[in-house]
Amino acid sequence: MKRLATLGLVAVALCGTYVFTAYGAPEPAQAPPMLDLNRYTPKDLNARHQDLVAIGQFTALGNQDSLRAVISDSIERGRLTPTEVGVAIRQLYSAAGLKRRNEAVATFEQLREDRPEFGVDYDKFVPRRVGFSALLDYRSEETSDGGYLPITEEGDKHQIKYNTFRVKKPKPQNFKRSGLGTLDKEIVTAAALGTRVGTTNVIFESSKKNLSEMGLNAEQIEYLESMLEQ
Amino acid sequence: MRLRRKPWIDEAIHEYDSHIILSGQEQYKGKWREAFAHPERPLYMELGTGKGRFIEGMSETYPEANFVGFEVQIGVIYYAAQKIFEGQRDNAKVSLFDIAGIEDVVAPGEVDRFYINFCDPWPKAKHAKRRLTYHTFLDRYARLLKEDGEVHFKTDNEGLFMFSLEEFQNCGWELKNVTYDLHSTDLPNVKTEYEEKFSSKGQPIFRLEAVKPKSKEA
Repeated sequence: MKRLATLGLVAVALCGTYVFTAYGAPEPAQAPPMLDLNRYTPKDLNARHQDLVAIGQFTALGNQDSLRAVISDSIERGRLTPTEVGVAIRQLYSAAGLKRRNEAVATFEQLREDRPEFGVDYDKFVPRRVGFSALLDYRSEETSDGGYLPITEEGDKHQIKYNTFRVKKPKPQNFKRSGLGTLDKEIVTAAALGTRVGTTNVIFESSKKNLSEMGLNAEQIEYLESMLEQ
Repeated sequence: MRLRRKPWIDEAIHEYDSHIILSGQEQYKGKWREAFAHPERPLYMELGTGKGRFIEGMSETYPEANFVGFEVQIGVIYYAAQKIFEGQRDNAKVSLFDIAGIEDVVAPGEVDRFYINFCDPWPKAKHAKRRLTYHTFLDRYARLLKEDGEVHFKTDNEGLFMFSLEEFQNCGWELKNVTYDLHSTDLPNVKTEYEEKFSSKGQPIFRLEAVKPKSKEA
């Protein structure tokens, strides 16, 4: 047995030597250069940003039907909240023009009235009167002679009544998603601006520079431009 | 939901043994459907059943599905078992179990749908990882769900809802039927005890449906 084992070891050693001399020593593995690493770089805008681009585009074009459809779809699919849509549209007074912006705001408000499942509008939220004014039971509006109008039962009927169970707006500091970020605002502005003045305009170029500084890569900006050109 | 300890429940709960699983849930792993008369039906699980109004209502509304509700407190699950037992629902069961270890009792790809109703919002930022819609939980649900499985989430807390929207989307779930005031819609709905309480005070109810991402393995 010992002889057989010894012969076996010798045979293995000889074969190993032959393979080593025939093919040479294996080359040590080298790490690939950093540039060749397969880094993930998005080539298009995400769904949320695409919706923002569409909102900016349709606001600037004054296409209310498409705007309404985009907003509905975006809220139903959770990509934008109603509050975020409101912020996105209201800030477009300079990029889309005041008239177009007001038309879009009116469309959005009409949509909220038609679709109550989009929730309460906190911008219209009237907090419950507390403290001295509630005790006096007087309206806040002053009359011409400096007095206050007393609240009547008929007046109360026509007053807008909102949910007073939650008196304060939700506190955003503990949650990530409280509204539009600066990049989101810049995207919707750029979309409105690009639609209004054209993608070759100098003003749009400065907007593209802002987007680049905020983190969009060149391919994403090209994608935005292609969306606007459609 | 926290109730005062009622020692008599320890004995009384055995009256509903046909509809409640108090121990040995591990043996049901991968076999939850076999616990029902019709195992071919889809399996829906509610995480945090509470007093069981939702699961009882759902099992009545959808007799073509099997329902399992998990609840960690025996003082609460007693009432859920009572409701199911008295309603003679053969398509619903409740189980006394902490869903923190849900992988021990549910096999990957076993469930068709999870229901999460009015879970604790954990409003402090440092407690975010305890929220049932935190991304680690979502990954766990995705493993346990079948292909195209869904999570239906309902809450009265707007902050938690916004957080959940973000988490679901970051994890690649497809959202649908997102609503910020559920009771304004004609979506089918079975109210929970909490929902009844808060909506009667004028509080809007937030709800979403999320479809499991395709890339997650079943």
